[in-house]
Amino acid sequence: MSLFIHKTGVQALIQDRGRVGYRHLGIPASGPMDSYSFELAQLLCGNSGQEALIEFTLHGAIIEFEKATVIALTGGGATATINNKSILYNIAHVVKAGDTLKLSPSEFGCRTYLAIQGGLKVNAELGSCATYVPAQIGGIEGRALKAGDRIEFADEINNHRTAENILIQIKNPALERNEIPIRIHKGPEWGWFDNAAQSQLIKEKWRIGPQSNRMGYQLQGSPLLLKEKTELISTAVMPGIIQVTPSGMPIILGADAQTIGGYPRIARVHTPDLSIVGQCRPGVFLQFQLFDK
Amino acid sequence: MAIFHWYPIHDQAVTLAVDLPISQESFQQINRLQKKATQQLSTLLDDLVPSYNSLTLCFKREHKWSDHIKKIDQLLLSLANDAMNEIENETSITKIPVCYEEYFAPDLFEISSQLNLSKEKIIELHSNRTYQVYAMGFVPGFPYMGEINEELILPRKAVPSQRIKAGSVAIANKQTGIYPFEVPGGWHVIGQTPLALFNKNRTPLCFLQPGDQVQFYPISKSEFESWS
Repeated sequence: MSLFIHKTGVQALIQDRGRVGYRHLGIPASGPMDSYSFELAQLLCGNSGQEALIEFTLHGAIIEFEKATVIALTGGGATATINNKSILYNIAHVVKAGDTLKLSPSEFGCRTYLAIQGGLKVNAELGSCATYVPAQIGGIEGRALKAGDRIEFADEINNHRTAENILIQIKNPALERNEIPIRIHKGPEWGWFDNAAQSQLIKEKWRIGPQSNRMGYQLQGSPLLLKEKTELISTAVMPGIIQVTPSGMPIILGADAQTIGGYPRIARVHTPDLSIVGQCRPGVFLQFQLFDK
Repeated sequence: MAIFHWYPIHDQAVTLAVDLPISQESFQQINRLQKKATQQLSTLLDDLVPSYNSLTLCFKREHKWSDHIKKIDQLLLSLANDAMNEIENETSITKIPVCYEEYFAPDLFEISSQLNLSKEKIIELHSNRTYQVYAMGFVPGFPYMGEINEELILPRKAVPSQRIKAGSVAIANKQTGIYPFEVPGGWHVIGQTPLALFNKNRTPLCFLQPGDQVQFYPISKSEFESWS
């Protein structure tokens, strides 16, 4: 008895904290796009944080629990019901066999985390259950979840370990509005851009393009120009790096991004703010602020 | 003497770069640095990511790079104080079959006119030398190799291709590489190998490793199709 996926919505991926120690072979960590909400969901249902859970993109998912357990939803991009009755995010819920969770559209946010007490029972691959679709590693068969999937989870309900009566108030601007301030640091190639491009990066409201995904957020605005055409020798990149393609458009690297890149890195997102970026959906505007002037 | 500088790329990662162009010397320096960093910092690190002229230290999640600035400085100091190690023993050359025929080389025609070289000449220049694998990355199993013949040097595409076939052999700047899966990419595809560059069920996971020496050799379309 387990969790049954009737519908996945836009995308549903099994994730844990991520796959460490393989970047030198080109394998990114993956893991949650919003690690803050990921950790909170785990904490609320009494997990250690090592467990596997599901990251949903936007709405549309319908999930049935085939046995009782404790769950928590965090993040955003949807509103939730159990058996058509609204439930809150950021608090633990006891569910019973046959209960059905449904994620419906909401105005803000992008990713919902569904943690289950004890975690999902999924075999780790290269040390992690995190799904990395491009190389078909982790999750179930290395793919996104699909309707008809059935995932086992732990039997025991341990009510002593849950935070059932605690509702956490979350402050994440991406869950409240469409213009989101994001703190950045100057990147290694900041100086390759002229003053006009540097100040434009800060002044412009960058629209998140429709092609954006867990590999990268493609931003739309006026092109950022290099002082002179220079090619970077390929070197390591990490989530949060803002690289600029030859067409002048910035890309924020996400949890599944390449491990090595060759585009100039004008900036990097202040690491704690990556959890805000991870809740931004296409169409939302980002406004960058220099963390260290 | 080689000069290193370093900069953060994440709360948990710093890159140490040497001011040298892509060369055997930069490779040796990075190799040396990697050994030292492994000796001195392995308890703090999850991973070390080498590239052409840089090494990136990935700290464990409970550590931030900013807590260990002194150790990073010490690492670079110990490298400077240490005599250059003997050059590594020569490794064997891995030969990789490539079909350069039109169907497998979507960009060959275009770059032939950009470089003002015949297709035959491009194939000859690409397959008549030995390359060093400097780094693995971009996607799992993608080998960054160099250097290619100067006559073949081109910038990356301004607009990346949305779909590059698995096994595609491509060039950009001074580098050549092989796409292990179907992914978007900005390099110019001049051929395709039937070999699998990455297999998650195989040990080692990647067909090539940093430090390997590689040479390409042309095969025909029928050889490609009957490859097993």
